[in-house]
Amino acid sequence: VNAELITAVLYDMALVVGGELTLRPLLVKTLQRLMYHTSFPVGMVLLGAPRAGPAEDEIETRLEVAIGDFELSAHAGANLLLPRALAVGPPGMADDPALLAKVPRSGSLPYTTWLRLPVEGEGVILLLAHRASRARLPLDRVFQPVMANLARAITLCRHHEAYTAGLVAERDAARMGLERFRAAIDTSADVIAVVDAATGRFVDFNATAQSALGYSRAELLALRSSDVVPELETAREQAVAGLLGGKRDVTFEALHHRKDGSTFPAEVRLTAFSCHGEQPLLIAVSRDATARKGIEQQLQQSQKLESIARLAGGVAHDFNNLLTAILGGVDVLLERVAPGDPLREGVQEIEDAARRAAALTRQLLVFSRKEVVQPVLVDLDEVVAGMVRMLRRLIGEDIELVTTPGAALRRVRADPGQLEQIIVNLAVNARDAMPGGGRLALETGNVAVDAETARLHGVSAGRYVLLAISDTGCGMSPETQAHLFEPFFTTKERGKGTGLGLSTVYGIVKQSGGYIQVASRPGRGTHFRIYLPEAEGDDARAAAPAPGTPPAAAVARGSEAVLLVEDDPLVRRVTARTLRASGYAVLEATEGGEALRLAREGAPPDLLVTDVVMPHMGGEALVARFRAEHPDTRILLISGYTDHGFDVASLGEGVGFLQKPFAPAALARKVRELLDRRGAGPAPLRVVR
Amino acid sequence: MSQSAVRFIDTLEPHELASELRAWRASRPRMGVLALVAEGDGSRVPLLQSVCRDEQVPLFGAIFPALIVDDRFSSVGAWLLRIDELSYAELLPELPREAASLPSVAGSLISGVTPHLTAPEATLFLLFDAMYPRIASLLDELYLRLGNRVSYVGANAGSETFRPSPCLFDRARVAGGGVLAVVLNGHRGAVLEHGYGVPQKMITASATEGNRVITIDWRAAFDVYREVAREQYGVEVDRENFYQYGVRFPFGIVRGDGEVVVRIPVALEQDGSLFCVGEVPANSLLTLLRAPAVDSRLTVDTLLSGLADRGAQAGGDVLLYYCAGRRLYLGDEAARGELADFRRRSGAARVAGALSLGEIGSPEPGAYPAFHNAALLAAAWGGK
Repeated sequence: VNAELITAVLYDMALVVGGELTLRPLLVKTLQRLMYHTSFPVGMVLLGAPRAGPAEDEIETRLEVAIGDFELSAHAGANLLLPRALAVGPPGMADDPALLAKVPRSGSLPYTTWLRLPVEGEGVILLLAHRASRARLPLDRVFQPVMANLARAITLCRHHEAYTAGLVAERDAARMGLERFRAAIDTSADVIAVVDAATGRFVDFNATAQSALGYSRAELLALRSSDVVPELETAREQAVAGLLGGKRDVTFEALHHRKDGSTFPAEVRLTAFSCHGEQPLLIAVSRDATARKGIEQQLQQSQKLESIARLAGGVAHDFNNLLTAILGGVDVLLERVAPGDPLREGVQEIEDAARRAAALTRQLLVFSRKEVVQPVLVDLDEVVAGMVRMLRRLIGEDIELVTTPGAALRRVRADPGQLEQIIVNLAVNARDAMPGGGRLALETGNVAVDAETARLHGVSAGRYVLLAISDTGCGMSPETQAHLFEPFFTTKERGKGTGLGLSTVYGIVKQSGGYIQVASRPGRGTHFRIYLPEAEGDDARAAAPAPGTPPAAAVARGSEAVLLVEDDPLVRRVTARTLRASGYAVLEATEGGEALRLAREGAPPDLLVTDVVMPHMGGEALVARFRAEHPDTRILLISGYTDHGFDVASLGEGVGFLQKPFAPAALARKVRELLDRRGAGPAPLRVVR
Repeated sequence: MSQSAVRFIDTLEPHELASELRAWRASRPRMGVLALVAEGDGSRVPLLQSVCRDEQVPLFGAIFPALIVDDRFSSVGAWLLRIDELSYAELLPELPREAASLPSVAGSLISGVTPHLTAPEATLFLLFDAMYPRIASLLDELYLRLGNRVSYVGANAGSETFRPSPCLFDRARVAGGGVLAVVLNGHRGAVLEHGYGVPQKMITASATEGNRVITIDWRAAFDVYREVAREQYGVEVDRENFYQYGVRFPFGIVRGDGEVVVRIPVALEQDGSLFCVGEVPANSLLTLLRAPAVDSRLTVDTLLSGLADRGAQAGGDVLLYYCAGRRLYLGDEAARGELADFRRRSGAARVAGALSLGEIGSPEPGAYPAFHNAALLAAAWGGK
């Protein structure tokens, strides 16, 4: 029976010891089974080489597992002080209550018996009991083969755990990498999809694909890629052919169809690939082109307006010269044709036509941003408030006018007259869009323009003041909006508008460094949002008329020497004649170099009258050199527009400006005013691009 | 009105129940009741629950094949056992049966029990549904984590027919397939005795599954059982008389030190596998035990000695579980004789208990707890 029992116990223990791959379960189950077979109620596994304890007869060793004694179990995982005679030695079993009294214990029953089972190279298993064992078998020897197996099993478990930990770490790293990659793909703003090259069905896709196309994951997986992008059907074949032919990519632009029926344009890059030799797959990366196309359209519109503006500015410049000559000639005629002469009425009609033409030209100059402006610090709310009565009359009783001033509105630097012109022009358009009445709202506010928006509109990012003008009128079609700011474009019936209203608005806003946005849909009204840059600093200069500006001369005549520089012979002739008729001694030059030479050869003139835009040497350069040589000479700049923005005030004291076309009397007054001025500079004038 | 900690109610009348509970609660406001109900009155458990709800008395209990009432067995009535300071009792019904669930079941029990262990000595009293197949393994798991922080005492409830039926209850539920756990602070455990010796012939449970022994020595379990019974005891066991002989010739699981744990086979499956009360670990070394020649005096001596070791005093009440299998092979009269002898010699005021379908405990204080069959289990209950 003993042999049979030993065999059975060893067989049972072998199954326990050989059945575990990790250390703790191995130790726990082995200890439990030993306790079961020995009826010892308490057991512990001590691993590692014991170290000397504080007393000579003690050792310190790590308690790996303890079962049965609550107090002893509390030390598991920590070092434990034990009697050397108990923990160190060959296999054995003995009754020794005195020795066991030094073992941590819970409960009132003392331990009396111990069974020691060394685990070679690893440590020892100790079993404790409150009474002597009744076993007939020599338990310490019976379990020796088990302990030998346990030592090997501990080693194997440690190897296995290390190996498993390595595998787990690798798997976790791979999974994290995959999850990170998946998150990156899902975060991408592009639609990314993997398509079965053979069937065209979606295999996988990122979250953006679902949100951009409006389908659930299950729905997309049930679709063919060509259901969403019809062009993919052809491109798929090309991509597969390309894969076989060595060409990897097919790029095209195609409309993508959302679940709700709407579409959006996107650039698609289709690449074929094969993974692990499986059948070819395609990766399609679609980038929504809606925004880019919008920007391109805006850029095209901007470039178109810019070229129109350049053309209009050039025409206006030449036209102003012609009008200057015409008005000068008319003035001469009016002096010579007596009142009551039948010719006089005809001459006056010519003058009226010329002045109307001058007004039109001026609007073209505004649009082309070539008009010389006098910017001052302006409170937009004050401008709006000052116009309310006039606007009510302008739009009529059927249209409600609502103004909403912004809180603590910041000021802008602009020409107040031009701002009024913006409001009037837009109000007139709004009125015409609401023949049956409606609502016109003016609102102001402070806003910040970010870098992206600024770049889109060709302005600087920063703080802006918003002027929003909205109506509830008939609105505009996209086609109308595409031509909105072009000069002479109008939807009004012939004779009702010049087609220059909105182009003037555009020019003023651009000249002020701002930009304009329009939102409109047929039947849903129109919303203009005008952004003007906030004026930097608290510069109140020119908010009021410049001090020291003398009143217009009562009799605009004189006898001083005037050097006239003008490349246009017609304008030069009329201007010279006007000056001579006013009593001045006039020397004429066709360009800057000639003017400098004439001034050096004779006595310096009292006044230099010069065009701004001239070949070879422009007015600005001439003024600089002339003042260096003849600092006492007064200077009058005349121009229809300037190619270079400059502040006349920066040219120094004694410099004035006269806008073409001008009437002879205006020229005479301006000349007299400059010659009479002593110690006062001109008002600051600035040409702003 | 009795102030004993145990009270047998044979009629289960609401008025009588309520009256007893009120009297107990008057002197012990934090008391709870552990009820042992005879299978014959199992249908009256809802009445007991209702009364306890009305009286706001915590109730936990189980249904057994029969009750021990001093020196007799009763198939009706109920024992009410007062727990003077009920700190923790919980019914965990329908426990998962797979082995992998044991750590979580044990964890759930331990997390409930541990905060309520307030005395240096405590007993974890467990009443299992006998049909739960992982009792021994769950005990191992509990001992692994709680160790000797508690003494482990318990018994299996249910029907002697071993048919599944809800046999555990609290004040609101009657459930099966689980365990009822009660913490008895200050209690010093129970003594267990089965009295079997180890015979010479050894066999091996080569394939088992929980309570089911599928093969012995790599052959159908029943075929080997029949052969060994014939060779060793000269009895012819067949499918018809198996139920008579199973209780007389149970399996013994032999441990390395020669100790034996009894497993009574109670059902024979079509494939020849045998269903036992309690787990039989695979590869266990088995013997076929013969019901011991009863030495009632020795049995009672062992129990009385164990009770004394655990601080029981004469004149107190005693809780006694008596294995249903033992009564089967001894016969009712001999069993009643043992009860009478035990009561007389123990000097117990009342012997309250039940016929059990498995017993949990250990022969000596501080020993490894085990799940046994065919044993007697005795514990002091309440003060003198």
